[in-house]
Amino acid sequence: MAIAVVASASLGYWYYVSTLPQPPTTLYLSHWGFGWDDIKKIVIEPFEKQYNAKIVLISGTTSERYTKLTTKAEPIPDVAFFPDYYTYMAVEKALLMKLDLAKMPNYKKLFKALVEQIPPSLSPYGVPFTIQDLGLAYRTDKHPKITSWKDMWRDDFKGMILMPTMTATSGPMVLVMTSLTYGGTQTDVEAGFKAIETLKGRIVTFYTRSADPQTLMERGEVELAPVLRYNWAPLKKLAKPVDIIYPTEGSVYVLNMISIVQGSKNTELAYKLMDFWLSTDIQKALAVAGVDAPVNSEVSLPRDDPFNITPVFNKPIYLNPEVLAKNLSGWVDAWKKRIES
Amino acid sequence: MKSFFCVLSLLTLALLLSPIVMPLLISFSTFESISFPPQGFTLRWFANVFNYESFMNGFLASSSIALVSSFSAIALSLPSSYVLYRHKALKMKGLMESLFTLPMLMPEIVLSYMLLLFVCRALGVVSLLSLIVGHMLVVMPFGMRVIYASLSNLGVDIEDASVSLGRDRLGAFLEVVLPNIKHGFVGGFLTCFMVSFNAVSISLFLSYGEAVPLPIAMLNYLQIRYDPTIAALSAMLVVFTVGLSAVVEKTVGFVSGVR
Amino acid sequence: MIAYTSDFASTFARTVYNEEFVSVFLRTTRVGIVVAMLASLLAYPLAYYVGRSSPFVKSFFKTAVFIPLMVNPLVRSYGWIIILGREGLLNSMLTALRLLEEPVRILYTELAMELGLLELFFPFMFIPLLSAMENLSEETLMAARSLGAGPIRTFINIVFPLTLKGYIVGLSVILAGCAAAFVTPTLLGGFRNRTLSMLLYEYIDIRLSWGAATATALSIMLTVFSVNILLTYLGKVAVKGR
Repeated sequence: MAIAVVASASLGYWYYVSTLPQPPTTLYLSHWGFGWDDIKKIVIEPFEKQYNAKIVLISGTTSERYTKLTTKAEPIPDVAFFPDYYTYMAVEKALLMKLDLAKMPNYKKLFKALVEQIPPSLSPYGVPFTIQDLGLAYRTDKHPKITSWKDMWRDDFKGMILMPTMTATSGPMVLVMTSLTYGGTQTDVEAGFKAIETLKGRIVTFYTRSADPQTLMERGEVELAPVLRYNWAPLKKLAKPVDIIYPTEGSVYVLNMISIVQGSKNTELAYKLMDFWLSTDIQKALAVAGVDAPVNSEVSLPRDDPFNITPVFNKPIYLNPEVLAKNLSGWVDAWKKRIES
Repeated sequence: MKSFFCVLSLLTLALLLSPIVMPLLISFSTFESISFPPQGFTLRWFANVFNYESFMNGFLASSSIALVSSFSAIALSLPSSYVLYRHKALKMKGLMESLFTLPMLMPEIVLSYMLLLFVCRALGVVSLLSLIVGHMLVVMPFGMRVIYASLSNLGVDIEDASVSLGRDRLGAFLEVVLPNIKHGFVGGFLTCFMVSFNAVSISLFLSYGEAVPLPIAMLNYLQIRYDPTIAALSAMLVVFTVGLSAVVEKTVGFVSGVR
Repeated sequence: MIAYTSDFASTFARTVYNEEFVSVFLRTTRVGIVVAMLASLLAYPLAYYVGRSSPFVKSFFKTAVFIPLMVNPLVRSYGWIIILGREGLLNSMLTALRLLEEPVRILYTELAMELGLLELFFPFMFIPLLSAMENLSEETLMAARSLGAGPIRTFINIVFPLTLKGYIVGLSVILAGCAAAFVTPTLLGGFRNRTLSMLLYEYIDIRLSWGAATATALSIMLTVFSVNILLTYLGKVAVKGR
């Protein structure tokens, strides 16, 4: 009698357990966190529903998250989002997994012009999901129009300039842009340093946080700042009139990449997330929401939409991630000593 | 003369209290940026604070870390204070005293860095434990000071009296000393709690992935947004900590006991 | 072991003997001294006045001064940002009163840092001074006055020496605190006005240079300790001399 009860109870239990929904697989993302509200709505929640996943965000600045990656700080992310030159640095330290690009069919839809530029030492380790190109934002009500990178040195901007620190994504980009404008090259940036040194007394402060340009513009603390594409939408939403121009000297840009971290236990799910992020619908939705510019060539946006990146192809200047990665620590030190002191 | 001092006091009070009052004023503004003067009236930012998962988690994380580290700090300070206090003639007393208050003299940031170096880098351990140990070290001197002060106020006589009346040492301690320093106990615990809750540097260096303390969550929020939600949260924190310290004051009269 | 020490010694030398470090160090010292001076100017008269007032006034001030200590430095710095910003309280008030034509930059300067640190450390100067003042007996002061000493002489010869111990405690806390404070200088001064503790953070989290970080941490510690020792010694000497 007792055996019958136990047997039927265990059978019943086994049946019950087998019909329970599978617990979701947790995927850890290392991302800036900027615009996460929109990203959550557009990408994360649909993905979680479709693939029975739970996404946990580990947020921070690029350098903070990179440090955590190198020190193997817990929790170790499965998927990491970095500007391409940081991705390259991580590859050199063998922190990222080599990707099987065939697992992401949407990869083929990306702009060939962009993908071809990625050095072969980097391309198997990350997929670009957006472009960050450098522009100049300024208060239109307080200053006449600017068109050139050299306008930063104009007298009316004295004491109202914001600059990035060298460890912000835009930092090296500003340095290289200045160097190219003043006759230097991507590798030899002495011209850039010299030019920015003349600007020293006019700079208010240096920013590290993604939201700083718009915060400081809003509070009237600065009236001119080099910004990246992700600053576009928030800057336009400010109560103060701000415009962003792309200098006549060209569009310096880097690609932001998604990679899988070495040792991840959820690679299949990671591949699915990356492919999802690159899909036409998602890329378009992110662009429309003002989060990230699309790199998927099948996304069609109106010509004057700020996130239509075809203007970038007018005069694109791709910053070679290898060059950037090699020089970064030297530039950081020199920047701190020469400019930030 | 009197008016000069009045002006001076007002100036000082303004200096000390305005940074605390400001977030409170701004938190009701409808304006999305944090400029002065505030405009309109809304409770939207307060609602936002509760909606934001990081803040709720951060509050829980900070409180739990504070609880655990205060508890362990007090648990360790009690016997140490007692020993130091009882054996006044102990030769090492001066040294021991300085040893226990060393973490307080040492700048918090240097302490955090040293912990980072020796625990995390050397042992390869970056975990919740190192964070708690760090908080405990930062907090312990405060606890020790309060307990030591109340022990001194008590005096050895009561304890000796009870021993001479036949009670053994441990019993005397438990039945006589502890109940009488209850106030110091509680006051010390609450002080430790508040110091740990507010500690920023140590959480910055040693924070363990998912248990993000509240100050770090606030700094992270400033990374990505710039609206008065932070002001609302600050206002709430002010009320929380001031309220807590009022409780300390009531139970222990800590303020009057300071130096 | 020897190799390790000499290797560290060279890293230390490299970190410290350069322009950047020196300028950061000088700035930290400058800020510390300014804050200490401002705190003394404000705390001394106030402590004197309060110390000889009614118990009600005393406990009022003790509580008022104590409250800020319980609040997170992050929150306090945030409050300062609202006050000192270009469109903040101070600028709005001053331009409304026509005392200023245009808003003035206060935030992201050394001055802003000093104000923030002053608010942070004022209680630590005030409370020791207050207890010292409380111990000052009224009779001593009356005796001095009856012997013909004016207020300045009374201060120099009587009040100051008798309250010296408290003052030194306050000074050491302020100077040590300014070297070690991290949140307030970062938020109020910005990266252009770095202090030693900001440099330490930079070396760890941004420049990933552990050797330099250790050197900086060591410098902070050495500075704090030597300031403490120096002040204690001065205190003993001054008291003996009387």
